[in-house]
Amino acid sequence: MSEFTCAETLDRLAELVGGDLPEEDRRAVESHVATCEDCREEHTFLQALRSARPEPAPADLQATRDAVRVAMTPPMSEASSSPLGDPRRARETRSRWRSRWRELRWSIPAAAVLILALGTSSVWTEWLGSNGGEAHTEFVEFGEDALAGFYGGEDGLVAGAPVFEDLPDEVLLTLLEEMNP
Amino acid sequence: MDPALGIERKLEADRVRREIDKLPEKQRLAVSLRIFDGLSFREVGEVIDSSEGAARVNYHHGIRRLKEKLRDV
Repeated sequence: MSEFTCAETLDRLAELVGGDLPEEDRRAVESHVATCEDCREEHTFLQALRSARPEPAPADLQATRDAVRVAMTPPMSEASSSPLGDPRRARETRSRWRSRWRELRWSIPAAAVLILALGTSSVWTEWLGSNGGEAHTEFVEFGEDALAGFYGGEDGLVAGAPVFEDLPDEVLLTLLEEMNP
Repeated sequence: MDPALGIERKLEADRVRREIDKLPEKQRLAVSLRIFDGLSFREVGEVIDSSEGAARVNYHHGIRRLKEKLRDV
Protein backbone atom coordinates (compact mmCIF):
# COMPACT_ATOMS: atom_id res chain seq x y z
CA MET A 1 0.00 0.00 0.00
CA SER A 2 1.38 3.42 -0.99
CA GLU A 3 1.76 6.07 1.67
CA PHE A 4 0.30 9.53 1.23
CA THR A 5 1.78 12.84 2.26
CA CYS A 6 -0.30 15.42 4.15
CA ALA A 7 -1.05 17.29 0.90
CA GLU A 8 -2.14 14.10 -0.86
CA THR A 9 -4.28 13.14 2.11
CA LEU A 10 -5.92 16.56 2.46
CA ASP A 11 -6.77 16.49 -1.25
CA ARG A 12 -8.66 13.22 -0.73
CA LEU A 13 -10.45 13.86 2.55
CA ALA A 14 -13.53 15.25 0.81
CA GLU A 15 -13.87 12.01 -1.16
CA LEU A 16 -13.25 10.02 2.03
CA VAL A 17 -16.12 11.70 3.93
CA GLY A 18 -18.28 11.40 0.84
CA GLY A 19 -17.50 7.72 0.46
CA ASP A 20 -16.22 8.21 -3.08
CA LEU A 21 -12.61 7.15 -2.57
CA PRO A 22 -11.34 4.00 -4.32
CA GLU A 23 -10.51 1.21 -1.90
CA GLU A 24 -6.72 1.46 -2.18
CA ASP A 25 -6.68 5.23 -1.71
CA ARG A 26 -9.13 4.99 1.16
CA ARG A 27 -6.86 2.65 3.09
CA ALA A 28 -3.84 4.86 2.45
CA VAL A 29 -5.71 7.99 3.58
CA GLU A 30 -7.09 6.34 6.69
CA SER A 31 -3.64 5.06 7.55
CA HIS A 32 -2.22 8.58 7.25
CA VAL A 33 -5.08 10.13 9.25
CA ALA A 34 -4.48 7.65 12.06
CA THR A 35 -0.96 8.91 12.53
CA CYS A 36 -1.25 12.63 11.63
CA GLU A 37 -3.02 14.90 14.08
CA ASP A 38 -3.47 17.82 11.64
CA CYS A 39 -5.04 15.64 8.97
CA ARG A 40 -7.19 13.92 11.59
CA GLU A 41 -8.46 17.28 12.77
CA GLU A 42 -9.33 18.24 9.20
CA HIS A 43 -11.03 14.90 8.65
CA THR A 44 -13.18 15.43 11.76
CA PHE A 45 -14.02 18.96 10.65
CA LEU A 46 -15.08 17.83 7.16
CA GLN A 47 -17.26 15.11 8.65
CA ALA A 48 -18.98 17.69 10.86
CA LEU A 49 -19.33 20.07 7.91
CA ARG A 50 -20.91 17.42 5.73
CA SER A 51 -23.29 16.26 8.47
CA ALA A 52 -24.39 19.87 9.01
CA ARG A 53 -25.30 20.19 5.38
CA PRO A 54 -28.53 22.20 5.10
CA GLU A 55 -31.59 20.08 4.44
CA PRO A 56 -32.38 19.83 0.74
CA ALA A 57 -35.70 21.27 -0.29
CA PRO A 58 -38.66 18.85 -0.21
CA ALA A 59 -39.11 17.01 -3.49
CA ASP A 60 -42.39 18.71 -4.36
CA LEU A 61 -41.03 22.17 -3.57
CA GLN A 62 -37.93 21.45 -5.62
CA ALA A 63 -40.08 20.21 -8.49
CA THR A 64 -42.06 23.45 -8.32
CA ARG A 65 -38.88 25.51 -8.37
CA ASP A 66 -37.58 23.54 -11.34
CA ALA A 67 -40.87 24.02 -13.19
CA VAL A 68 -40.77 27.77 -12.51
CA ARG A 69 -37.18 27.94 -13.68
CA VAL A 70 -38.01 26.08 -16.88
CA ALA A 71 -41.07 28.28 -17.45
CA MET A 72 -39.00 31.43 -17.00
CA THR A 73 -36.28 30.29 -19.38
CA PRO A 74 -37.18 31.06 -22.99
CA PRO A 75 -36.47 28.30 -25.50
CA MET A 76 -33.22 28.70 -27.42
CA SER A 77 -35.00 29.30 -30.72
CA GLU A 78 -37.19 32.02 -29.17
CA ALA A 79 -34.24 33.64 -27.40
CA SER A 80 -32.27 33.81 -30.61
CA SER A 81 -35.20 35.20 -32.60
CA SER A 82 -35.84 37.99 -30.11
CA PRO A 83 -33.72 41.09 -30.75
CA LEU A 84 -33.58 41.74 -27.02
CA GLY A 85 -32.73 38.14 -26.14
CA ASP A 86 -29.30 38.37 -27.71
CA PRO A 87 -27.11 41.20 -26.35
CA ARG A 88 -25.25 41.53 -29.67
CA ARG A 89 -28.49 41.85 -31.66
CA ALA A 90 -29.88 44.27 -29.06
CA ARG A 91 -26.80 46.46 -29.54
CA GLU A 92 -27.22 46.34 -33.33
CA THR A 93 -30.90 47.27 -33.02
CA ARG A 94 -30.08 50.23 -30.75
CA SER A 95 -27.38 51.38 -33.14
CA ARG A 96 -29.74 51.13 -36.14
CA TRP A 97 -32.43 53.22 -34.39
CA ARG A 98 -29.83 55.75 -33.30
CA SER A 99 -28.67 56.28 -36.88
CA ARG A 100 -32.30 56.53 -38.10
CA TRP A 101 -32.94 59.17 -35.45
CA ARG A 102 -29.90 61.12 -36.64
CA GLU A 103 -31.32 61.05 -40.21
CA LEU A 104 -34.85 62.04 -39.16
CA ARG A 105 -34.22 64.56 -36.42
CA TRP A 106 -34.38 67.59 -38.83
CA SER A 107 -37.40 66.22 -40.69
CA ILE A 108 -39.69 66.52 -37.66
CA PRO A 109 -39.42 70.35 -37.23
CA ALA A 110 -39.72 70.72 -41.04
CA ALA A 111 -42.93 68.64 -41.03
CA ALA A 112 -44.30 70.74 -38.15
CA VAL A 113 -43.64 73.97 -40.11
CA LEU A 114 -45.33 72.48 -43.20
CA ILE A 115 -48.44 71.45 -41.25
CA LEU A 116 -48.63 74.90 -39.64
CA ALA A 117 -48.36 76.57 -43.06
CA LEU A 118 -51.11 74.38 -44.55
CA GLY A 119 -53.37 75.06 -41.58
CA THR A 120 -52.83 78.82 -41.84
CA SER A 121 -53.58 78.86 -45.58
CA SER A 122 -56.75 76.85 -45.01
CA VAL A 123 -57.99 79.36 -42.40
CA TRP A 124 -57.06 82.21 -44.75
CA THR A 125 -59.07 80.61 -47.60
CA GLU A 126 -62.08 80.12 -45.32
CA TRP A 127 -61.91 83.76 -44.27
CA LEU A 128 -61.76 84.93 -47.87
CA GLY A 129 -64.69 82.68 -48.80
CA SER A 130 -66.94 84.12 -46.08
CA ASN A 131 -65.92 87.71 -46.87
CA GLY A 132 -66.83 88.22 -50.51
CA GLY A 133 -64.90 85.42 -52.02
CA GLU A 134 -66.52 82.56 -53.85
CA ALA A 135 -69.61 81.19 -52.19
CA HIS A 136 -68.86 77.59 -51.38
CA THR A 137 -71.99 76.45 -49.59
CA GLU A 138 -74.67 74.70 -51.57
CA PHE A 139 -78.04 73.56 -50.29
CA VAL A 140 -79.23 70.18 -51.45
CA GLU A 141 -82.96 69.77 -51.09
CA PHE A 142 -84.01 66.56 -49.42
CA GLY A 143 -87.57 65.56 -50.14
CA GLU A 144 -90.41 67.85 -49.27
CA ASP A 145 -89.00 69.02 -45.95
CA ALA A 146 -86.74 71.92 -46.75
CA LEU A 147 -85.03 71.79 -43.32
CA ALA A 148 -84.21 68.12 -43.66
CA GLY A 149 -81.41 68.77 -46.08
CA PHE A 150 -77.69 68.62 -46.34
CA TYR A 151 -75.55 71.59 -47.05
CA GLY A 152 -72.68 70.91 -49.36
CA GLY A 153 -69.37 72.69 -48.99
CA GLU A 154 -66.04 72.36 -50.69
CA ASP A 155 -65.14 69.41 -48.53
CA GLY A 156 -68.34 67.51 -49.30
CA LEU A 157 -71.75 67.29 -47.69
CA VAL A 158 -71.98 68.54 -44.12
CA ALA A 159 -74.97 68.93 -41.86
CA GLY A 160 -75.54 72.30 -40.22
CA ALA A 161 -77.69 75.35 -39.91
CA PRO A 162 -78.90 76.70 -43.23
CA VAL A 163 -77.41 79.91 -44.45
CA PHE A 164 -80.60 81.66 -45.49
CA GLU A 165 -78.98 84.31 -47.60
CA ASP A 166 -77.54 81.64 -49.89
CA LEU A 167 -80.85 79.82 -50.36
CA PRO A 168 -82.86 80.20 -53.59
CA ASP A 169 -86.02 82.31 -53.33
CA GLU A 170 -88.31 79.32 -53.82
CA VAL A 171 -86.84 77.54 -50.84
CA LEU A 172 -87.00 80.65 -48.69
CA LEU A 173 -90.67 81.00 -49.55
CA THR A 174 -91.31 77.40 -48.60
CA LEU A 175 -89.57 77.94 -45.30
CA LEU A 176 -91.56 81.06 -44.54
CA GLU A 177 -94.80 79.29 -45.30
CA GLU A 178 -93.90 76.46 -42.95
CA MET A 179 -92.87 78.86 -40.19
CA ASN A 180 -96.07 80.95 -40.58
CA PRO A 181 -98.79 78.56 -41.61
CA MET B 1 -34.88 11.54 16.72
CA ASP B 2 -34.76 13.74 19.80
CA PRO B 3 -36.55 17.02 18.85
CA ALA B 4 -33.95 19.10 20.70
CA LEU B 5 -31.19 17.38 18.74
CA GLY B 6 -33.06 18.06 15.52
CA ILE B 7 -33.33 21.79 16.32
CA GLU B 8 -29.68 21.91 17.29
CA ARG B 9 -28.65 20.32 14.02
CA LYS B 10 -30.89 22.73 12.14
CA LEU B 11 -29.23 25.68 13.85
CA GLU B 12 -25.81 24.22 13.06
CA ALA B 13 -26.81 23.75 9.46
CA ASP B 14 -28.03 27.35 9.26
CA ARG B 15 -24.77 28.59 10.72
CA VAL B 16 -22.72 26.47 8.32
CA ARG B 17 -24.74 27.77 5.39
CA ARG B 18 -24.30 31.38 6.50
CA GLU B 19 -20.54 30.99 6.86
CA ILE B 20 -20.26 29.23 3.50
CA ASP B 21 -22.30 32.01 1.89
CA LYS B 22 -19.84 34.58 3.25
CA LEU B 23 -16.92 32.96 1.42
CA PRO B 24 -15.63 34.52 -1.80
CA GLU B 25 -17.52 33.14 -4.80
CA LYS B 26 -14.93 30.65 -6.05
CA GLN B 27 -14.08 29.40 -2.56
CA ARG B 28 -17.78 28.98 -1.78
CA LEU B 29 -18.38 26.98 -4.94
CA ALA B 30 -15.24 24.90 -4.51
CA VAL B 31 -16.13 23.93 -0.92
CA SER B 32 -19.80 23.24 -1.65
CA LEU B 33 -19.13 21.23 -4.78
CA ARG B 34 -16.38 19.19 -3.11
CA ILE B 35 -18.01 18.51 0.26
CA PHE B 36 -21.71 18.35 -0.58
CA ASP B 37 -21.71 17.25 -4.22
CA GLY B 38 -18.56 15.12 -4.35
CA LEU B 39 -17.06 16.76 -7.44
CA SER B 40 -13.38 16.27 -8.24
CA PHE B 41 -10.99 19.23 -8.41
CA ARG B 42 -11.02 18.98 -12.19
CA GLU B 43 -14.81 19.16 -12.28
CA VAL B 44 -14.86 22.05 -9.81
CA GLY B 45 -12.35 23.85 -12.02
CA GLU B 46 -14.70 23.49 -14.98
CA VAL B 47 -17.60 24.87 -12.99
CA ILE B 48 -15.76 27.91 -11.66
CA ASP B 49 -13.93 28.41 -14.94
CA SER B 50 -10.48 27.87 -13.43
CA SER B 51 -7.68 25.34 -13.66
CA GLU B 52 -7.66 22.22 -11.54
CA GLY B 53 -4.85 23.74 -9.45
CA ALA B 54 -6.81 26.96 -8.88
CA ALA B 55 -9.83 24.90 -7.82
CA ARG B 56 -7.64 23.06 -5.30
CA VAL B 57 -6.27 26.34 -3.88
CA ASN B 58 -9.76 27.86 -3.63
CA TYR B 59 -11.04 24.77 -1.86
CA HIS B 60 -8.26 24.68 0.75
CA HIS B 61 -8.50 28.44 1.41
CA GLY B 62 -12.24 28.09 1.86
CA ILE B 63 -11.88 25.15 4.25
CA ARG B 64 -9.26 27.02 6.29
CA ARG B 65 -11.52 30.05 6.59
CA LEU B 66 -14.51 27.92 7.57
CA LYS B 67 -12.46 26.14 10.26
CA GLU B 68 -11.63 29.52 11.78
CA LYS B 69 -15.29 30.54 11.82
CA LEU B 70 -16.82 27.20 12.84
CA ARG B 71 -14.35 25.84 15.37
CA ASP B 72 -17.03 24.52 17.71
CA VAL B 73 -19.13 22.74 15.10
